[in-house]
Amino acid sequence: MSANDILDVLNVQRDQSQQQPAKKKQRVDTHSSNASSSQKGMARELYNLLGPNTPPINLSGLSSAGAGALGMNGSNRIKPNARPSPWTRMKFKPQSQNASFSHWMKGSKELLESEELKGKGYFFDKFNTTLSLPELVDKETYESYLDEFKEAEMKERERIAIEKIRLKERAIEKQREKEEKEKERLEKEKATKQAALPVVPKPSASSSSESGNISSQAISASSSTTTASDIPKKDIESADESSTKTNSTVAANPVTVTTSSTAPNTSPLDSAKEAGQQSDSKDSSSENKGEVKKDSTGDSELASTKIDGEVTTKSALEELLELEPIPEEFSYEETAYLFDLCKAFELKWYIITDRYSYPIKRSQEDLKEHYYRVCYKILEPESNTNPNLLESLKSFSKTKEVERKHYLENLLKRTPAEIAEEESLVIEARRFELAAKKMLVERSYLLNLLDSPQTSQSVQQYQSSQGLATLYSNLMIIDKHQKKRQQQQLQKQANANGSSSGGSANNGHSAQTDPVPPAIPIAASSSFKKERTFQTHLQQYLSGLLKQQGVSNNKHEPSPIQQLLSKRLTVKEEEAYGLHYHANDKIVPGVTLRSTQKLPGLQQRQSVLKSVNNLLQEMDIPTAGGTNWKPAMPTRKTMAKYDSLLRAVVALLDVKKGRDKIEAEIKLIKSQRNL
Amino acid sequence: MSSSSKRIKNVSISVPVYYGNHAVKLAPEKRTEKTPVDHTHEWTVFIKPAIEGFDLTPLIKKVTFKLHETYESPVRTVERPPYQVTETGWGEFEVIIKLHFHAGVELGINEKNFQIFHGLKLHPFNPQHPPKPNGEVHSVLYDELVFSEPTEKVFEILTSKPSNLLPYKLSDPSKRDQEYLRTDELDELSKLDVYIEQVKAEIENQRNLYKDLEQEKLALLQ
Repeated sequence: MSANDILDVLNVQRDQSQQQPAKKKQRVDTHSSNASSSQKGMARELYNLLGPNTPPINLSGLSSAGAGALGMNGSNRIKPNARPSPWTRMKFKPQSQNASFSHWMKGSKELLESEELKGKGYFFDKFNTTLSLPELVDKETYESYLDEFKEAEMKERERIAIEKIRLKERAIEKQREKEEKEKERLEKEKATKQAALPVVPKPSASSSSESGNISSQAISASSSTTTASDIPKKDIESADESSTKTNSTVAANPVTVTTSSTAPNTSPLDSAKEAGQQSDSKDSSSENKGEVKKDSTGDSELASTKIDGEVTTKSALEELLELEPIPEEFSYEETAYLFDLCKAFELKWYIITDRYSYPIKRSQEDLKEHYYRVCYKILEPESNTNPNLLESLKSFSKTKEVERKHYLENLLKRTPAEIAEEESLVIEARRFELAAKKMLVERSYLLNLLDSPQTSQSVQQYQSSQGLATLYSNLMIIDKHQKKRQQQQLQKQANANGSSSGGSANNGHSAQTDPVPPAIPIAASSSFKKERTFQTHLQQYLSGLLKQQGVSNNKHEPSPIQQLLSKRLTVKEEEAYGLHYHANDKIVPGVTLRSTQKLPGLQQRQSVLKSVNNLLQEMDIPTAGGTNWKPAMPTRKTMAKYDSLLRAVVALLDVKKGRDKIEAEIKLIKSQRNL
Repeated sequence: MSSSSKRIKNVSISVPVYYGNHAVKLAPEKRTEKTPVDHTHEWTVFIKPAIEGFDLTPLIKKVTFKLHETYESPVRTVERPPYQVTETGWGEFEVIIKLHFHAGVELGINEKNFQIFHGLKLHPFNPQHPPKPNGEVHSVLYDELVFSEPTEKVFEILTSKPSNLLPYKLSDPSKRDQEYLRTDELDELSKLDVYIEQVKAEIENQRNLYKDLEQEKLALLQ
């Protein structure tokens, strides 16, 4: 059945206004009064069924006896040529019941009848299902279930009570630190109040806490008029079992029955207000809100539990248990009633709750909980039960359900302003996130910039044009290394992403927008710089060398260079190792003797060297008589000194030569003048 | 090429060594039947690291000492320390001490064999050291093996232990002519400093003279 069918039944036509604006106007003019009056009763309802998504429709004028006009070509129909499809009133059997109904079906009578003969079943047969609901057990088994429930309840309540006491104790300790003096005063107060406490405030306490206590697992027990006399007895029994029996329980119970039946469904806030004077309920409400209220009476009680030690803790526990709402239990009759309703309304809980007219008022959650747990009990022993069903039956938690509805209510109750605020907050948070991400990226970019190639050597060697060229090539090499490394990393990431996401197209993109910032380059880290200051030239050079070589060496054992660097030698220690870093001078790889090293000072013609030797002798510098005098102990330092000595002597020779020359010139001039 | 044979640029490592010879007059009781009658001295030519206990065996495969051709089998090979040859003789000649390094790229040592020439000394030669009563002659020379741009392997071997810790004291006062001390180096350095100062002063002196002469020349030209 489509929307068109409905329209057909109602003799309603789709609005063709978009195609024929002129006609539409006309129509509206002519039929407006008629149309508005014609939408009545069933028609209106069906019209509403069309929903907001159906295109605008125009109702043609149909007299109130519209059904009779079906199939007739009214003069006011927009499409006079369209043949209306035939509709037939057919009989059908809704269920196996004997009642007979009729409904309108599309198609001619002959067609429909022939179809029926063919054995085509009732169209809505698939909805003719009945839920397989468990039948309620007999009364005795039910009673045994009830006992089990009670036992579990008692345990739960005890647990919660203990938790509460602990919470209280903690709160006390906090407060005590703050206001010890006040405590003392309150203690005295308490001493007087405690005596009166168990008897006087009980009724209102139990009622208010029952309705207000969301966290309590307590289920209100039934107190129907018929079973009311049994309840106190049962409660006493259960109290006996859990060894929390007090006289006040007995005294309190009748009161509980009456009050709780009158005011079971007050909201938590209301109850908190109601219990303004009541210390216990205040405590529970304050706990619910997760804060400790300054409540003099509450304080005093808390203090008492703390100070008097174990004994009072126990009594406080008992007190709490008493004050817990004693749930009104479901009698067998009520349960049977509930089961009947469930069956009748096919577990449609809202209807069930609505129609629930038992003397005791129950919330939907109460009903659900009771129904589910009884069902669980019934189904549990059966072997062929669906375990998932059992699981879901068991997992129903009234508290959570109530909480959920409470939250939902709050959520729906939000004012537009609140909603707008929330949205703006979300947007704000997202903006912060983005900003943080952006900052991280920028930071890593900056750090990459800081990762400049290290000057492992003195700057002097780069001051010549040749030096500049080498510097440039070095920089290029380092740059290449870096780029390669970055690319490798990117590739790795991309590969990892590709394998995980099945090779989606935006691998590269995801690798780039990775929110995890890239590692801080070594050179930019402060520790690296600190380290550098302690390095000698040689070590700086070597570490630079290591960096250039890249990571390949590091995988295996540490290279000898690293081993040496790890020793962190001083200059003197380096000398002891015979290590020297030649920053400026070129050296030829290979082994040489220090004494035969090619010193720059010796790179002279033989005649020059000879005259150097002569000069040295002239100056009374011992040359050991030979022509190639050398330090007796050719170490690096002595040879360097020797070298500079030689050069100085060569320079001296030059100066002498110049002097000789100028002397000769003067002589020449003089001789010329004299002539 | 393995990474350990890669040369480390711009770095050199030096290993101080002693080489030279000890010589004593040949005692009559030491003569054997084989000893030629005319041999007057017993000498030992050697090369060793200046620091006791510094091990060069990872680097040096063998050391050959090339004696005078008149000796029987003049090339003597020593494969393990002490690298030395003891012989008798009567004359001084130049011994060629050749260091053979372990060859092989796979080892990471890629140094050429290396020769040191040592003039054998049998007679007292140094006026600074008065001849000893027992006629012992020591010609011990200090030098350093300089490994320029060593391979990483060599670097590793040579940096395993500090090799240049020259002592400040003689192990035996009588060995003044056999050992070199750090103080010797310092003496040498200060001596050289003095010479350099001397030369520089002379240069200054000559320069001043030159300037004076230049002015004289100018004066003459005007």
